[in-house]
Amino acid sequence: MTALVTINNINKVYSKGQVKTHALQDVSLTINKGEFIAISGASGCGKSTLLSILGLLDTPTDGHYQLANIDTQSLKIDQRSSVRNKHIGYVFQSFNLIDSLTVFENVALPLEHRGALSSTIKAAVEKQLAAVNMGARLDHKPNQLSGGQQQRAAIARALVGNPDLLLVDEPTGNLDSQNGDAVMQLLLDLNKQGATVVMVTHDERYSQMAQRQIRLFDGKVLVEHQEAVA
Amino acid sequence: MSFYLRALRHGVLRLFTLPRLSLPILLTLSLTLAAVLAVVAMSSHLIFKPLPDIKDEKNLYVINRTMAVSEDMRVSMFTAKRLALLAEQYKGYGQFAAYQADESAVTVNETNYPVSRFDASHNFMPVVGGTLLLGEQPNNVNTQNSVWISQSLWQSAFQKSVNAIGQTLQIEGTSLQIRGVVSDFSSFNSDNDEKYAQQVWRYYDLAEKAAMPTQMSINGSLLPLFRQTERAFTADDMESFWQQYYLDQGEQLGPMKQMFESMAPESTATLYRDNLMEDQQTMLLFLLATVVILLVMASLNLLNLFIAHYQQREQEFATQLCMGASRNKLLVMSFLENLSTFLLAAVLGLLGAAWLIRLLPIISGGNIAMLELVQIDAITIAVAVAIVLIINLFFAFLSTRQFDQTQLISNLNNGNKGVNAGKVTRLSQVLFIAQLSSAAVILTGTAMLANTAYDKLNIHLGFEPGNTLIANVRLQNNDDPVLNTAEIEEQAKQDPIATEQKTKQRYQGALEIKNQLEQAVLQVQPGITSLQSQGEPFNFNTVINMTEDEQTRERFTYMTINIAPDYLQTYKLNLLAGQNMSQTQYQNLEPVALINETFAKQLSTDGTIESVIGKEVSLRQIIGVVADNYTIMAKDQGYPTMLYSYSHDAPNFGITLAMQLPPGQRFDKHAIMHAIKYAHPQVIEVDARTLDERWDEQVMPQRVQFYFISALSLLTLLLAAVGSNGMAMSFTELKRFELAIRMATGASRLNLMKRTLKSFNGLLLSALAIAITLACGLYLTLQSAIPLLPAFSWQALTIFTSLLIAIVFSAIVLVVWRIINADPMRALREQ
Repeated sequence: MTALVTINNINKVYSKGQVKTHALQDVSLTINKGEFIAISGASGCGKSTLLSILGLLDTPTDGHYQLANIDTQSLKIDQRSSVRNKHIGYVFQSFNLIDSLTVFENVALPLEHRGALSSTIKAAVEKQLAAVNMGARLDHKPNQLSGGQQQRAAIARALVGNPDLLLVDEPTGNLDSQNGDAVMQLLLDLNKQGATVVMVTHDERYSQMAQRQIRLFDGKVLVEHQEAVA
Repeated sequence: MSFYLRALRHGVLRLFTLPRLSLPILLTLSLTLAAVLAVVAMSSHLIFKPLPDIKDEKNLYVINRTMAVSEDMRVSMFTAKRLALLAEQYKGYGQFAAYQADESAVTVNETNYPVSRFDASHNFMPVVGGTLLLGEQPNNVNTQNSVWISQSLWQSAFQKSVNAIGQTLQIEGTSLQIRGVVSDFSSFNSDNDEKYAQQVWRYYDLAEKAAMPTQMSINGSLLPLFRQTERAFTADDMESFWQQYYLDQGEQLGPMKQMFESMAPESTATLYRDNLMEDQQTMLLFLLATVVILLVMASLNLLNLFIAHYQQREQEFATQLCMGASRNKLLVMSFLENLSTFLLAAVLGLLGAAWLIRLLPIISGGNIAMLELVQIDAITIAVAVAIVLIINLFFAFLSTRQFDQTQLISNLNNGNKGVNAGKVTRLSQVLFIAQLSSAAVILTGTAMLANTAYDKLNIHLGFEPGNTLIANVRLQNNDDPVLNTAEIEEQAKQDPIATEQKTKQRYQGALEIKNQLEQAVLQVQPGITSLQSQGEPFNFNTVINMTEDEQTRERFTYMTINIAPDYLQTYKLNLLAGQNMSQTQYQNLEPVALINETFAKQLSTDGTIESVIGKEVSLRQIIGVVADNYTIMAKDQGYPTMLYSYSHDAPNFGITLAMQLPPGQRFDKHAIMHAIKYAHPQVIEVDARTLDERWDEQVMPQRVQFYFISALSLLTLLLAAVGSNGMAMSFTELKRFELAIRMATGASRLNLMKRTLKSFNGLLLSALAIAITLACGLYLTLQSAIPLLPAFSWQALTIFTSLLIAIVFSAIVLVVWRIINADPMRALREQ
């Protein structure tokens, strides 16, 4: 299997005055292409910090992170944006859809930033929204959607640019169980189609559905468990 | 602790704990308040308070008849004799008095003191005002060879000693005995002269002046005063006096009557206060309007800051509302929270105003009367407190009313249905447009004023002043009793030939003295070139004459310049027709003259300037025509001028030494003046200034105005920049989440910048369009109502508007770039 993500001895320290908080301590991890990884742990254990670092939304205090053979350590701000745009799809816990934009426009954002042609954007966005069963909601504004629909739109946005890595932060946290199950199924389907998914969740039931489960405790990898590949 | 006390305490603490809110408020508000309060203090003293020194000012009038000597200058046609005649005729109406004020210097015990010299009727104190502190009241017996000094001069020259009475002081070469000490007089205008609290008063009996011979000239600065006790004196009364005066004195007046009547005479009777303050009132109103707009701009800037601050506290307000607080209670809370900051700003503003007021006499360059009396008073303090309380209340109202109560509470229950993309509220948009409009209004006004002031400072003179020093030398008349102009004119009428001979002799004598003085100057500074010409092209010592064309009987008014053959070459003036005065003509005292182009065009019968060559004007033959040049009388270079040697003119007991040095070399003025003063026994007084110095003095008001306007423009631009910065910050802060999401989905910073600016451009462009249209419309409307305002200049408007746009745009770009670079994705991570 080919390694997509390699992180070595990642540390993240937050300082406030004299107080230092170690959000991550010597975390090392390799993620192969096509894997579905669930990261779980108690609140404040560092799982969202790890996801932010994986998504290049944040930088580690020290350690090494390589994504799709790109050494992210030396990247400048705009280079990180470019890598994010091409290689990463990020689904936020609170969806982060822009209120003033329609569902279509929200999903189109990564392609717009990539400078794609309008026709290409249109085709890709419609295809992606249809894939998450949101084809009928193209012109809706986020506040006109249910939580589950917003989550699916957010996933469509993350996937529209065909990223190598899909990062999903608590995908079911703001959803009822029915919508949560549906979103989880969608992620599993995407994984089956070849997407590499890293999901942060505190829900054991959903965590169990991933091929690999990583449990964090106080910023350290406590347990790593891998299901036998079928 | 009660809810309100807690708010008050929170406000005091916030002064230190929230400097990003308290510092901008303190800085912006205190600086603007300083300007506002300085103008309020000026208005309070100069417009609303009674004049010091003046008794019952509601009944004291300046009655005058003036004539226009140029477009922008009117002079009084009154002499003491004319006023004495008028006072006699209208004595049943009330009391008449007069004074004129000049800058001078006195010598006491070999020490010189600069003073304001007053020549006044001896009834000045009882009729106008002022108090005798020591000595005798002036009367018709004790005024001869006597002087009264002011309290300040008494203090500085005699340390308030009672022995000052009876001592002598020297003023302009004359020794006078001190008869009394009077209070300092401050309620007077100084024109271009310096005003001093050190003053000397020479009194005369007005009634006695009625017996003086009729004068053929005027001095232009006598101020006739009338205190109404029985009847009002009107402009019509003045008209009838002058008509009667022409009838009675017409013969003696001769051509003067026509000259007076041809120069747009105007009779006026205005309250003394209005006469003293009329220019100031317009200026103060302009200043008041400007600082009020500045205050509005500053307040709008701060309001943006407040709105942003209270938006951040939306959650807190929502909770307070949920817990049952009324909106009024929140308003009071907000008011109390900000009270300490606003009151501190008022205190700082008052301190700033006090400092500014001390600078005002310097800033105004003597253009505003009685500034030395202005100080911070109870009215100013009350205004300061009222302003900050009103602004605070207004801010509290807008800051709390911007929230929709239902929306606030629903926000508390909102289950993250999407991210607020951040829309600029309608209020913020209106504020931004109002801010830019205020800036554009001030900038349009200042652009026009700056343009005019700049033009006045950068005048094409039409000549080269060179490195020239002019020394005015006052001479003692040893041969004859000192006669005034009227007496000399009378003598000339009686025996013209003898008088002309005497005049020529006196002129030759003066030239000899001039030669001696030039030699003395050469000894102290050998590099100096002495000029033959005593006059200079600015014509600072203007003399106006009148002539009548013998054929057409048309009358012409013109000014004269005392020249010699070296005049044209020295000052690089162009000879347009005819020839220059030759050395032979000059030395033989031939009555020849040059005239300027304007005068030539007036005299020409066929429209050509050549046709006036050979013509005789005022007994002098015109031999050449020179190009017009700038003079202090005619700033547009178009005043008729005759240039000749003053060999035949009545003596003025003075000569002028004009001298030049190569460019870059400095005159040793002190040594030169000293050498002149002791080179001849007849020299009484010397005053030497370079043409550059005199020109600088001349344009000082324009220069001060230009600097003041430039400072005002800069302050406006600064406030516009701060306002735009605040608006952009508030706008971009609102968009921070959207920026973060866009960045998370791969947008580059440049891309984000472009997008943010694009979304901002609509507001910016419409705000600028509204602002500029409003400003131009307002200015043009005002201009039609106030003719004093300078002409509208598109060029000036374009420059200032471009500056405004550039500054506003830069402020926005900077703040957007800063926020984009400040890791907006933190918002996503911290969810």
